[in-house]
Amino acid sequence: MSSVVTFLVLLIFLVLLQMAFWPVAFGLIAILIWFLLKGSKHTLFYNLIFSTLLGFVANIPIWIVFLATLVSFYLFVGARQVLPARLVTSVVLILASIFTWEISTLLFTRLLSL
Amino acid sequence: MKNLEKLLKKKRKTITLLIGLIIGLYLLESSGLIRIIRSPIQSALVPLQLSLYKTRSDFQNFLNTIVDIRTLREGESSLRAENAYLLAENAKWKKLEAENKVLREQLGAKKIDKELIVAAVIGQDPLIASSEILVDKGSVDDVKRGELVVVEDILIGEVVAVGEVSSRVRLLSDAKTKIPAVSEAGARGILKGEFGNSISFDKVVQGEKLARGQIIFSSGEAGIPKGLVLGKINKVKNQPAALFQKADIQPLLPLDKLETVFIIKKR
Repeated sequence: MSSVVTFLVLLIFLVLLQMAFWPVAFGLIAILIWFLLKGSKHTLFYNLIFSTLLGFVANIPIWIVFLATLVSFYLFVGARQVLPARLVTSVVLILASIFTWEISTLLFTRLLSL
Repeated sequence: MKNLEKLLKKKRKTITLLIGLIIGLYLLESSGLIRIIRSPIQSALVPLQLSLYKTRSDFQNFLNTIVDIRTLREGESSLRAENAYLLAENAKWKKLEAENKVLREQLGAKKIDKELIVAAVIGQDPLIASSEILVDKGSVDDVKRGELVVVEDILIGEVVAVGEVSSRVRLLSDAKTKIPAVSEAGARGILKGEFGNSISFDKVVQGEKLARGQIIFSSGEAGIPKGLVLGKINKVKNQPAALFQKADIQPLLPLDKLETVFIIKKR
């Protein structure tokens, strides 16, 4: 239980870091690392919390962030099952997920503003 | 194909839950019910965001000072010359302003004062591909979507999303920005943000004079007041075969290092 709470505090910090320091989805990276280390337990909850926090802080509709996060997360999970379990593969997949998150958030935001 | 069907059957519950969550969030957002929790969370996080953003600015300034220390001496002499030129120009403008004031009084024309809201920058855009900032004023302070954001008479951007206690401002360098503009020599064109956070002055017909250092102003169309400063020409890209001329624009203020901005209230 304490690890879940610690992870949630970390997620808050990482969302603020994304907004203040460098526009990279650090929260999603943390969730993907959690998935690699501890499996899929709680990951849906973390995805929801990450999306909600970022949506609140950045004034972006939460469902857009959640949708983009889910697309990136399940792309990572799917590719991880097919590809060999190596460190290099995981790093490349994390980078690909971050790229997917960026593109899909931008795309969904554009679609909404049409 | 069979494997996929099996997987879909196995994960049917999860997929239904996810679709339900997305629809639920969409409904909460569109009905405005989300505000009930959004507002207190935003209020609680704004001070944290502000302190983190200030820390980032201080850290960036510190790093810049170390990097720039070598080039400071070289830059000093050119800045002295530029300063002297600007002082002379400033004196000329002051004289013109005084003349303008006398003429206005004689004609009985009222000066239109802008109503401004002071806002602190508390964050940047969460995406690399777009160029926006977050400010600490929202609907509580009567900020509205579409209001312009300036520093002095320099246009910074436009409010694109308003939360309770914070708002998102799209900067001039965002790819969605398109502003009818005019150069100080009278060349008309469109100021556009480009991917990669740069700005260009495009659609200027061949034959119009564009030169490095010229200031670009808003032309007064598309609901943007005339005469707001947008930037200065950094490089002219003139290809004789092309229909239009294009120039790279340098903002007069570093858009990624802003700390305080002013929102012009719509009347």
